[in-house]
Amino acid sequence: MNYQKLAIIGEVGAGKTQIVRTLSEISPFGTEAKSTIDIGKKNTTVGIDYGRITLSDDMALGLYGVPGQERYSFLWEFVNQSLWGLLILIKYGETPDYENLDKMLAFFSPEKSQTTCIVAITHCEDGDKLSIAALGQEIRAMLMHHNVVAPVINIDPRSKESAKSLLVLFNALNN
Amino acid sequence: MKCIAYISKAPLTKSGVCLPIGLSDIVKASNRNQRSNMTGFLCYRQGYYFQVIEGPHKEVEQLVLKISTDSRHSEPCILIDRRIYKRCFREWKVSVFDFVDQSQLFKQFIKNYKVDAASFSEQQKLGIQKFYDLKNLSYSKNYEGKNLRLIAWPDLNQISQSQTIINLCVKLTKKPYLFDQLVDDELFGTRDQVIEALDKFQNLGILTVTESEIVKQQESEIIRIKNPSSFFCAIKKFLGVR
Repeated sequence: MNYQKLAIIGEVGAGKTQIVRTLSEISPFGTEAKSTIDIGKKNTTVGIDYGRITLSDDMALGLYGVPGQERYSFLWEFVNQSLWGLLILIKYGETPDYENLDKMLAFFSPEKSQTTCIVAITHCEDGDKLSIAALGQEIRAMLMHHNVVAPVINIDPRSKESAKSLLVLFNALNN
Repeated sequence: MKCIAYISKAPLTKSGVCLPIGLSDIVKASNRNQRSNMTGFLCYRQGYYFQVIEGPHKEVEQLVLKISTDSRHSEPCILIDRRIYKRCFREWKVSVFDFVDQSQLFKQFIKNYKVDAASFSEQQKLGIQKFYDLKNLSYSKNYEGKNLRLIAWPDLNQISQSQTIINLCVKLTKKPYLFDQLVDDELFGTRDQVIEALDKFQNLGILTVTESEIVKQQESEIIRIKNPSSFFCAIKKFLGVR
């Protein structure tokens, strides 16, 4: 069985659960719980969102939505094997937790492990173009610090087309 | 009216990374300048901000006071702080790209404030050099027979997030690629479209253009290792991509 993983990692509300839902052929196995603080939505994921894309009888891509906070780094360990790709989701409209992103990049170290990495900015449909570009610049500065050459693109996790375009990009980068 | 020009430093994270944290918010806030009769520009490059503000005396003073207490930057180095009788910028602009600076804005700044620039101290000169060094770069726009490589991904918001551009970036970030082959592949548009994209990459300072001798050798290596995996083909099939 050729089974590979796409790790989707990001802060609360970045769209991890949604993108797994959009791409998965199975009803995603989620571990959502009622949020105890105001994060703009009722529930938040406290574990892994799992989805799957069957490619053939003996080939599949597992989708693992993993919380980006360092306290969940035991889950990072769990997904950090046979990684086909690492997708980092950043929510537009909130200053990202860069200390955490720094730790995340140090942990996964895509350059050393030669894991294909893409950073996707979400919630930017109505955003100001220049301000989104500025957020991209903030992220790129962090990527450069970790010697990661990765595209920073805008996506809408609710859109099948947008989510699939990510897979197209991962596949092209992996080839 | 008054003009203030200063350079300041982006903050360091706890782990010592110099990041323009909150740049996106700064841009949003500075866009208000457009509505408040301020002209000039804000520029970010490699850990430093450069801002020129022109406008009514009182409003500029108030804005500078606000900026001076903003924790998203530090170590301000004032370049200009004086009355002016005429604005040299017609509007408010922001340039936030590490690899680019809107050199046109700099030319305009240096030209209009040349008297001030002539009396800059060594420290001030060093500060502005961080932004103004692109004047020394001369680009070759002739790609024929040259080897091309992207050393970083461009800001796709600025270039285009089209599939063709993305494919071109994928190709050029992996290994050096011969220009003629890029055109022959016909995967990235017409010859003119390829050149247009490459010119944009050049202007962003992320394209390396080298002679093709070594290229050909590397090129053959690229071809040798390019056996698509079965997983790659399966994903392509799933996505319905040709």
